[in-house]
Parts: sequence; structure tokens; C-alpha cells
Amino acid sequence: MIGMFNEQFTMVMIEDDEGHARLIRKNLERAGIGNPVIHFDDGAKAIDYFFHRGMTKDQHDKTLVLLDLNLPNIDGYEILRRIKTDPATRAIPVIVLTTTDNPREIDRCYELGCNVYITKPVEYDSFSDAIRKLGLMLAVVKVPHSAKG
Amino acid sequence: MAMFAVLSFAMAGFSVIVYQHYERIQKLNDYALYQYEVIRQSRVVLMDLVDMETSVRGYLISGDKSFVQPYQSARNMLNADITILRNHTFRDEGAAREVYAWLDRIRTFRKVLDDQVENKTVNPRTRVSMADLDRQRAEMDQLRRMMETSIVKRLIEVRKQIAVKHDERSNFIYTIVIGNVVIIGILLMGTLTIVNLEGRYEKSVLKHEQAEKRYREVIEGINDGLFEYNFVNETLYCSPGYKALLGYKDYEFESSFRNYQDHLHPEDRDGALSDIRRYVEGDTDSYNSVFRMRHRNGHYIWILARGVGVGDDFSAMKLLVGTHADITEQKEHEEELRQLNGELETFTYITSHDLRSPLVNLKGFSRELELSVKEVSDLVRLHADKIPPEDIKRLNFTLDTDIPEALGFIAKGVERMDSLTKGILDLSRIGRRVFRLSEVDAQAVFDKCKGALGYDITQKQIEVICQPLPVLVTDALALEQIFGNLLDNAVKYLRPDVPGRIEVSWRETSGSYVFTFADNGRGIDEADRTKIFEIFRRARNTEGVTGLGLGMAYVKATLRRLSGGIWFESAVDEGTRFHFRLPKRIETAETETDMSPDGTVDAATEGTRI
Repeated sequence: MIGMFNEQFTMVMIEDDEGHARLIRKNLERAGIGNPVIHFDDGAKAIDYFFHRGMTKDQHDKTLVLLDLNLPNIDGYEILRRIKTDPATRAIPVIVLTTTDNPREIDRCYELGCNVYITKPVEYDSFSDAIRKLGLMLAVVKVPHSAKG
Repeated sequence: MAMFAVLSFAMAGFSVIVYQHYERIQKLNDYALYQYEVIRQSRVVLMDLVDMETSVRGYLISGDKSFVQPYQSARNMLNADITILRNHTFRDEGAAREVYAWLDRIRTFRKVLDDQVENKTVNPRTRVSMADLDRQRAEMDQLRRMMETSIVKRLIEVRKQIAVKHDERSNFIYTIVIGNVVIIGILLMGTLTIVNLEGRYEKSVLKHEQAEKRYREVIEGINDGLFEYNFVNETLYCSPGYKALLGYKDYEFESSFRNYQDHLHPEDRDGALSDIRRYVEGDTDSYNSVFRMRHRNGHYIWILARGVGVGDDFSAMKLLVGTHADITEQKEHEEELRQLNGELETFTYITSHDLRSPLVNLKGFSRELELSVKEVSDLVRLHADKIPPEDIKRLNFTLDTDIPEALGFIAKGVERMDSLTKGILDLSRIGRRVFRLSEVDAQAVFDKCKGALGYDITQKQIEVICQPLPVLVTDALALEQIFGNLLDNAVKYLRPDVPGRIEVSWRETSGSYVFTFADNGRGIDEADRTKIFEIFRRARNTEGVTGLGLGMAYVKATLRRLSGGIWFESAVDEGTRFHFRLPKRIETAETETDMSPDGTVDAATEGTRI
């Protein structure tokens, strides 16, 4: 399953903290998720990538987003809202990955249509575990799309 | 009032008694009069008969025709007099029968007389026999006796009646005298009552005036405005204080409801008017309204309006009377507080997010470092033969001891910092938490908390004694957290050298439940008394027990939210008794607060987070 996942998806990571980005990559690799990762450290750049490059729906279908909420220029909520309201990008799974476990934020993210919300754990092992679970779940979630594409 | 009613009844009753007496006496009078009349008339009839008899006798003996004339007139009189007598007696059955009996005899007697007169007139020469005369006389005597007997009977009857009448009259006098005495008594008492009431009334008037004066002084003293809104004719009275609040002199502000409305802040107008309406229509129990009104200078001031409805006993409300108080200052403080609260929320957000963000890196990279070190040591071990032995020793020491030690401290620090930020966050969330009141079996909650500590309790052989706990209405989760923290502390801070004993009891007061957790543990030093409930602070004698100093701060904040309280008594090396109070409540479907729904999603999203 993870193999399938590896072959087909590009991960778009929107994360302004250099360290976190690095840790996420390292842990994904360690979890065996070797997909290509495109990293944006700025909300505006991510918006530019999704909406101003004339990408097709097919291309979007092979994308998965790891999204931080606190971002410079355009914050994570806005990116989430844009992705989930645009018909071309609506199907992209969005995983909100943030340090806060504020219930209000979690609620707001689910309202905006995020697929999964993960609190970045300080505890290293649980973080890896979460990423691993995430990889598994993404594979399951994306099966119908992969069949089509 | 009762006095007057009694008096009226007494008067009426007395009148009835007097009237009845009068009636009775009047009847007796009428009866006596009737008897006298019958007696008189009977005598008249008797006199007629006697006249007739003597005239006839004279005529028979003398033959003188002049005797016939008186006989004739007496005969005529007799008829008339008998008619009168019958008229008198026809209502009295006994008397009528008596008269009727007389009439028979009178008729016979008259026939005898008539015959004798006729004989004498036809045959003047005929001599009258003595025997005839004697018979005539005897007949007359019999008649006379009969009538006299009747008369005497009647006289006796009348005498009796007179005696009765005499009694009645004296009774009547007594009645009048007694009645008068009673009425005078009642009047006297009534007068006394009136005098007494008057005195009391005066006193109450005086009191009332004093109260009003005090009230006026208070109202003037606190600068509140008074208003009286009349729904019937839609008028509004505003006191000078009311107008002064808005910066107007008494004559500058028109006392009208329209003017009041015009001065309301446009955003508050509908709310303020609907507050009045809802109170008048009975939807709310008290009139309590907060709104802004325009000051003469153009700015708005916050007004707290409170009032009561006044109406007749049996009709709807007619007036709304109340006060206006300027609460602008409070409102400003409130706003300030709201801002501060907002800042606090931002602060907790920053602590939870921005402080945790570097922690993720610290922890994450120290782990990376650890992995790297492991790799390095593996490599070192692999190429150990190419490195001089003394360098190997130093390398091994650094890689196996120094670096892991440093990483260990970093990890511990990060963990602690993580717990602290989480603690702050948890504490800040109590303020926004929504409590759900329901019937909670405290015993079940306690057993659950005890179960969670089961290992420690058995291991340390702690004796836990718990009085059967009640079922009460509160928030189940809050109660569990309170019980849990108190029990956890009691277990944690026992003295290692003394067998632990924890005793839980409760009692009920008029308005609340008071629970007590008593232990024979370390106790709390008097100097630490205030520290106990402060966040991140712990008592001095807590060495050897890990803790963040959050539990009791959390319990205290929770109890504050539930309108309860917590306190304790303690002595070092003897033990501590924690008491906490929960108010008695009625189960409601509604939640305890109208705060933002943050708390509610807490539990709902718990399961979805990975």
C-alpha cells in the first residue's frame, strides 16, 4: 500500500519553521514514505503554486498537502479555505499539522474541510507514529482516486 | 373595621329584639281592648234585655200603654246591639259560639215577651198570672247569669293578660337597658380602637415620612435618577437626578417617553424597549435593563435601569417606577477586563503554540542528534582499529556518556516545559469550559478515582475509608477531576514511615454539600498556605514527589466556576484535611455558562485527533 502511495503522490509541505520542515521530512523518510516533497515556507508561495500555475485537476489529484497554520503572508486557514472551495483543488487531501491543540482551531479547520488534524507532538516517538499512521491512512483515502488516475 | 361590623350587627339584632317586644305588647293591648269591647257590648245587650223585661212587666201589671214604648225601643236597640256584638266576635270562634247560644235564648225570651204584650193588647182585661211573671223573671235571671258568667270569665282573662303584659313590659325595659349598656360598651370599645388606630396610623405616617426622607437622601446621595412611566396615558416622569445624569438641567429635558426613546443609543433602542415590554407582559420577573443614552454633550453613557411595576390589586400594571444609574465606569472596566481577557487568551495561545514550536525542534533534533551519535559510535566501533586507543577512549566517553547525558537533560527540560505549557493551557480553558449539570453518583465517581490509584493504594497499603457518598447535581467530569486531584495528592504526599490512612466524609448544609478528604500525610506548613492553590507552586516538603503545581490550582479554578469553594486545615507531619463545598442545584438541561463553545468540542474532537 505504502508502495503505491510512494509512486503516485507529491507532497506539498507548507511549513515556515525550517526545523519542523526538516523533522517532518526526516520522519517521513524513516517511516518509509519516500514521495517527492515540495516545500513552501510562506503561504503566498503555496497559493501561487496551487492557483497561478495553470495546473490541471489530474496534477492536483496527485498531490497531498501538509499544512501548518501559522504562516507568514497568508495563513494556513486561508490556504485551507482556498483549496477546499476551488473545484479544481477540492479533492486534495489536506493534513493540518500544527503545534496547537486549541479546540477552537481544530474545530475551525474541520469546518473549513481539512481531512486530518495532527498536533505536532513534542514526544518524538508519537510524532513518528502519527506520521506513519498518516501515511497508511492517506493510502487508504486515495485508493479511489488512484484507480481513476 | 371588625369593631364596626360587630357594632352594626349588635344594633340590628337589638332593633329586632325591641321590635318583637313591641309587637308582643301591642298584640296584648289589642287583645285586652277586644275583650273590654266584648264585655261592654255584652253588658249593653244585657241592659236592653233588662229594659225589655221591666217594660213588659210594668205593662202587664198596670196595663198602662206608656210601658209599650220603652219596650219597643229596647227591642230595636237589642237587634242593633247584638249585630255589633256579633261583628266584634266573629273572628273569635269561642266567643262567636257563645253569642250564638245566647241568641237562641234571647230569641225565646223575646218571643215570650212579645206574646205577653200581644195578649195584653188584644185582651186588656186579661189578668196576668203570677206564675207567668215568675217564669218570665226566672228566664231573665238565667239569661243574666249566663251572660254575667261570660263577662266574669272574660274579665279574669283580661286580668291574666294584664299580668303577662306587665311582665313583658318589664322584660322590655330590661332589654332596652341591657341593649343600651351593650351598645354603649361597644361604642366605647370602638372609640378606643379608633383612637388606638389613629395613634398607630400617625406613627406609621411618621415612619413612612422618615423612610421616604431616607430614600430621598439615598437617591440624591448616589446620584441615581428616578423615573415613573405610566402606560395608561403614556407619560414619563423624570426626576432632576435622571436629567442630571444626561447633563440636563431640570427644565431642559422634556419628561416624555418619546424624548427618552430619542436619547437611547440607536443600537440599544430595540433592546431597551423590548426589556420594558417583556417585563410589562410578565415574561421577566424583574425589570433590569442596560443601555446607552446620549449625553447632552453628544457622547453616550451606560445606564443601568431597574424598576418595579405598580398597578391596582386586580388590574394589570399601570406604572413602571424605577431608577437609572450611570454605569459607564463599570462598563469601561468591563471592557478593559474583556480586553485583558482577550490578551490572556492570546497569551495562552502563544504559550501553547509559539512556545511549543521551538520545543518540537529541541526534542526532535535532540532525537536526531541521538540517532546521529549512534551512527557515529557504530562507525567508530567499525573503524576502531584505525584510531589510536587513547582517542578511542575519549571518543567512547563522549559518545556514550557525555552526549547522552546532555541529551537526557535537554529531553527532560523539554518535557517539563511541555507539561507546563499544557498546564497553563488547561487552566485557561476552565474559564471557557461549559459545565453540564446532571445527577451524579459521587460514590461511583469516587470509586473510579480510587480505582485509578489502585496500584499505589495496594502497594503502599493505604487504608482508604469512605463514608457512603450522596447523589448530587453537578458536572460529572468536574467532580471526577476534583476527587481525582485530592485523592492523588493525599496518596502522593503520605509520609513514607507511617501507614497511610485517607478518610473521606461529607455533610449536607442548607445550600450545599461539603466533602472532606483527610489524610495523615506530610501536612502543609503554615508558610505554604497560600502557595497550595497557586499555579506552578508547591509546598516545601514535597521532595521526592514529582508534580508541576497544577492540580490544586485546577481544582480551585474548577470549584470557583461551579460557585463552590475549597479550604483546608493542616499540621506538618500530622496530616491535612481538605474541605470543598459544592452548591446544591437543580438539574437543568441547559449548560452552566453561555461562553464560547470551545469546551464542548474538546470532548467531541478528542477521538479524532491522532
